[in-house]
Amino acid sequence: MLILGLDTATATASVALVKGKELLGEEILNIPQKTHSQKLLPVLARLLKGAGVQVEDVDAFAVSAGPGSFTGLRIGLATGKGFAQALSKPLSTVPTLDALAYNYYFPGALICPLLDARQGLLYTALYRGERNGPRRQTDYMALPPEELADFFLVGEKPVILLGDGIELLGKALLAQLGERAFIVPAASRLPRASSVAFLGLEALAENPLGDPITVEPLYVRKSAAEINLEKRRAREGPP
Amino acid sequence: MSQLILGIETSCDETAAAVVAGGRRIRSNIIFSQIKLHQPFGGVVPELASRNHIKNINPIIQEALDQAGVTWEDLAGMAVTYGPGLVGALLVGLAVAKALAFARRLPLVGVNHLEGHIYSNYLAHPHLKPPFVSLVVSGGHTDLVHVLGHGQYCLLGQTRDDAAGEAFDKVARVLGLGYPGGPAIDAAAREGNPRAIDFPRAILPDAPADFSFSGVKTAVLNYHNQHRQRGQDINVAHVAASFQAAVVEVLVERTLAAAVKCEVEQVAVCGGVAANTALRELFRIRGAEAGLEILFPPPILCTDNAAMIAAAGYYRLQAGCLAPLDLNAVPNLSLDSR
Ligand SMILES: [Zn+2]
Repeated sequence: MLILGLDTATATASVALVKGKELLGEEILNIPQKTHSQKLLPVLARLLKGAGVQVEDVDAFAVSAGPGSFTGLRIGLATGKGFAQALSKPLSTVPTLDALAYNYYFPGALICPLLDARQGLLYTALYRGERNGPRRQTDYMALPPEELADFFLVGEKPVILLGDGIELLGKALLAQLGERAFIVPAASRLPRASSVAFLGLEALAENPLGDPITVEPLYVRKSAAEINLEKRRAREGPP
Repeated sequence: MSQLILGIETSCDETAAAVVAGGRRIRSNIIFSQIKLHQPFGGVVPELASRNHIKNINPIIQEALDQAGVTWEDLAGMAVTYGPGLVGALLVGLAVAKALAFARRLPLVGVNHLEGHIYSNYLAHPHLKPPFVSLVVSGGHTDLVHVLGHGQYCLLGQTRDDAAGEAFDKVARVLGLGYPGGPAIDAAAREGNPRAIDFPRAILPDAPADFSFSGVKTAVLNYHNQHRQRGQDINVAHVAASFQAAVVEVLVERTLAAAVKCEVEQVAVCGGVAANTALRELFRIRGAEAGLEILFPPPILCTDNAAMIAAAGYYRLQAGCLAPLDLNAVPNLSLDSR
């Protein structure tokens, strides 16, 4: 099975072609100056051409579903849905943090992918590294960095850090982790469409039809307008 | 070559897809309005609009194809709105359209949303022929355009502050008439006297084709506040009718003056506010006096829709203006910036 993975959850645009257990090719463009609308399809066209693959030959599509930049997620998902609909092929949505943890799932370690959620928050979830992949231990969360300290307290295990939110973690927390902290090298620190594709393949093995065409991004956070409306209603009581 | 174009439109709070034949005949026109979702907020919330676009756009595209009775193989090309509008909302339609076109190897053209509105009158009136003057009037725009030919526009004037529809929304909110304000004021005004209160009509001597609606909006706000401070009730119907008359008169007079100056015989009014009954009535009367033919699309083509995008796209495709793979959304795209 030939699967095309897409990731536009952060400033990085990434596409990958995976065939069974093999990575045929991957393109990563980590250029925040350009939007995903400008980057994604040119990069994808280049990958297909380089791999000598026609888009009709792709058997399934996998998209990084979030959390991440709301607009970025929608560009990736709209693209994936467009391909799936045009070619009547299955689409699998893969949680972005799962894919990020998959980049570096060292057995026995605690894996902590971190994404900048804006307004001082981080998107994260914690994973235990196992031989066949990362196993998620928590919900997908949006929280201030301080609140992560509790999750790190337990045990002596190394804590593997990756994602564009590492800088937000703060010196104090890093100092507290000390030797246990391991910041993944730059190439594996970015979201990668190859990880999305491999996890998409696993998901499609369980659900060959994939996600419905109405599937939405995994936002984790409500929109500011919804939060404000809820606050106002709570203040004013029922109408 | 088949002449069928699939159009996609997500620039604001309508998720829409349509199939149009030969730029003129509507085969399907599917519009999913999000108005109910935005009502509790008193206006369009951009992030919510985008969230609903991504959820609904693909089924709506399928519905447009199914209702038209066509498959991907039957299409000659695709058209998508790339501006002006809400950037996050535009990007959903644009990304879907690019992927569909790439996967089906269909030519794709990017369409200016305002140009789309102008084409709503081509769809409704087969005898409409350039050159003519078009007033694009909606919640986001008040543009007066000299249409010289397909894809050839001269922007004569536009609003310097609020769009006409925006002023309707704000005044409706103050009067407690709810959102969207256009239909609410239209309905309330029917019971009122348009001469009851003399609200100002902005005069811009140096730019006779430009508009300004912040003055009349502020006048209504002040009128409302002064009465409230004195503990006096206002007659909502009179205020609505008088405000509406002030806006409508300015729109009609400036448009007809522009038509006379441009020496055209047809005037095509489009956009959400083109559904307003007082605007239609005054255009009908004054147009007849001036010997001009005034054209309006039916209400379904006044709201944002994708049939108008497909129609405009058909002519752009014929002109060979293909969208590059890296086409981006342009939230403040103007008709002149091509
Ligand atoms: Zn519009």
